[in-house]
Amino acid sequence: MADNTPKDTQDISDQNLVQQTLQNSAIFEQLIQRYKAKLERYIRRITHASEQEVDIVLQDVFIKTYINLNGYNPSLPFSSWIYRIAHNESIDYLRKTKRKHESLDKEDEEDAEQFINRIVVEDDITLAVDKRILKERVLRILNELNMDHRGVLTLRYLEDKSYDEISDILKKPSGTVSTLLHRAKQSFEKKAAELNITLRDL
Amino acid sequence: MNIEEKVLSQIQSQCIKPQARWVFEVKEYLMWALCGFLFALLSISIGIIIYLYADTDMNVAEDIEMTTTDTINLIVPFFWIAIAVVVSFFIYKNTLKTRNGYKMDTERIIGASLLVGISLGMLLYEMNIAEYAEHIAAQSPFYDSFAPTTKHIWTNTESGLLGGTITTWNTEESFTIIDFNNHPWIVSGSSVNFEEPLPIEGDKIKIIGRMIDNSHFDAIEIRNW
Repeated sequence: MADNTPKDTQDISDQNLVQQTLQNSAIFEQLIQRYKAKLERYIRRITHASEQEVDIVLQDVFIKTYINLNGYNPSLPFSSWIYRIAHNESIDYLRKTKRKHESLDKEDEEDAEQFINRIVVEDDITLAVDKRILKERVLRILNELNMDHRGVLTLRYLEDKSYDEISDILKKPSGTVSTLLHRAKQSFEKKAAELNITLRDL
Repeated sequence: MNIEEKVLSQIQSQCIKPQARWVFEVKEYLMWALCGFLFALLSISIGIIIYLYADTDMNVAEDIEMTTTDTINLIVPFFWIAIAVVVSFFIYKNTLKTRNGYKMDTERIIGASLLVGISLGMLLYEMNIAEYAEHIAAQSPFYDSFAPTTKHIWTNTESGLLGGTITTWNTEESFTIIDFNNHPWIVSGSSVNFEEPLPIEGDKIKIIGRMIDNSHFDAIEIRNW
């Protein structure tokens, strides 16, 4: 299978790779390579599952993507489409496992750092707090949010997705995404206020 | 084994193939066909709402005392409004499931649905299709339970209002009906003003006239139910 795979596909668009995959399944490897890191990170951020579990979810995402390749609408960025599948699979996984995140690992710390840089203002009180404690608090707040709020905050501030991309991923109108993001920030702000953490005016 | 190898090996070992394009196309067409059906249902409901509103018996109801509830029931066709609301909800949900439907705002989907529904509903009313549809629905034995009608208005025989189902035509100028309390009446009249189409046995009708005695009624005007 690997012998049929073109070596240099970096300049080929996702849409072209989809078309080529439909002719030759080995090309699918290129799409996997393009998205595995991003999706692995996104699934982990949403589910907080173990590495092994994230791998299983990721595998399911790619299999589902492959099965549904003919249903891909080329007017939509492929990235948004595959993120949508990853998002739905992550929600399915959470429903099945009802998992709650408890520990803080290195990648979580990086996420917390990014989140703090994007939306959290450390005021005088929190400046005095140890950075690690602040990160733990930020992550704890994120984990306490409902799936919709956590998902939209993750897409916007950790995955750096635009409103249009989030709209395509969550299958919600842009206006609804905007409202959802606003509410998610309000929920976050409410919980953050209890811990003396204030948000930037984004 | 890395993820690429795992995925490709699973595809190979389980002979997984992409679903055929036509499956997705059929799904999309079915979604739009369902939308079309729901739009037709919405238009008929709105057409019937217009018909029922336009065809209220307010002119005869003015002659008898009515409670506020009866008056509201008479003017507002709650059942069909409820149907229109439920159908609009399903149109909204169904539109979201179409390929690009999720990009449309709720207000735009509901607004566009109502605009199309009202336009087609008015057309169906003008073409008398709404009236026909309502008559068909009224044949259902459950219709009266769901759609409160003005039956009790048409049991005011002393005020000259009688309603019921024709059981037999006795002569050209006389027929028997069973009213809504299962009481038989012989209705007669020589120069009765009939509403088209002429009622036949089994049809429900409304009669404006004069009670002669407990089983005889003199008709002046006969309307289809």
